[in-house]
Amino acid sequence: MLVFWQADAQHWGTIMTDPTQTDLDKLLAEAALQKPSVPTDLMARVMIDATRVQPKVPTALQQGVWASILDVIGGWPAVGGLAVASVAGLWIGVAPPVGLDAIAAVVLGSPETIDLFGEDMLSNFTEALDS
Amino acid sequence: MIDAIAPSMSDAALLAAYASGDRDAAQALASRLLPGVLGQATRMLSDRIEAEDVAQDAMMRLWTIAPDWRDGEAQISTWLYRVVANLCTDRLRKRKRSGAIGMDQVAEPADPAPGAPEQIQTNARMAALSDALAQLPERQAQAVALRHLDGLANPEIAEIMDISVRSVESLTARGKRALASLLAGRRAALGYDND
Repeated sequence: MLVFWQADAQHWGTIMTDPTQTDLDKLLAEAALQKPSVPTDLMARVMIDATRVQPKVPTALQQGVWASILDVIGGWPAVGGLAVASVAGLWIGVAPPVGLDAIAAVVLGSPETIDLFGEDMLSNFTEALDS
Repeated sequence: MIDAIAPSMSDAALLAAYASGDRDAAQALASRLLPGVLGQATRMLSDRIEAEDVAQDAMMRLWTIAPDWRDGEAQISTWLYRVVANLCTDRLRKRKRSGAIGMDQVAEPADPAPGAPEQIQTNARMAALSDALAQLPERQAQAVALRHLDGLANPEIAEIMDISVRSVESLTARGKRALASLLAGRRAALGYDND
């Protein structure tokens, strides 16, 4: 502490000869000695605060399940793509855009019925059963 | 204490562990940092209750900032010094607005014990210093407190206050002169006439 005040005296020069300044130096030095111990209840309050605002980390099981699902589908980008595709599909189903039927006909073609056995063959078979 | 299980861990590493859900890290950090925080607040405010409130508030801010803390940008101790200094000057400003306590209103110990008169005198001196600090501009009060009450070096104070070392020197010089002026004429009240 002596060294501290000697250094300060160099800085303050003639001011240190002022008795008021000397008193102030004594006062500051006395105040600097205050080093209170931490009361138990203060430590308890601080720890309660720490627990209350501590970020919640998922449990290992939760973390494992979600990580596995994400790995399978390709991570968060894939989740985003999946969500967009789902919403778009739902929207197209609820309110199909004008002309979608025509486009579908071109792309998928028109439904056609193919008679594998032919009408005559079926009628002959029916008649044979009746006779 | 619990800090003994992680003595080599830096404050920042403990804070990161706390942010990751490690409760023991919070205990270790509090054991390590709270004494200094409480000491700084006590020396500046000279009021046990207020100092404890400030210490709890400062630690709460540390817990809150934990998830966003970026290691390497600042020392936690430096950041805490700044937070406590700001919280203390806020308290001093409120105290000034509401009327300073004054040495004459310092409570005497309820149970006078041997040495109690000396303790009362010491409490009165500390209260007078704190009240005088409350009269200073905030930056001067912070610089004087960090330099002369907490014993920090000027470069460290400059980092805490985010100013140049020359500014620190100027603030402490003007602050100390103002303090001397505020306390002038109170030599007897401060108990220095007996020297």
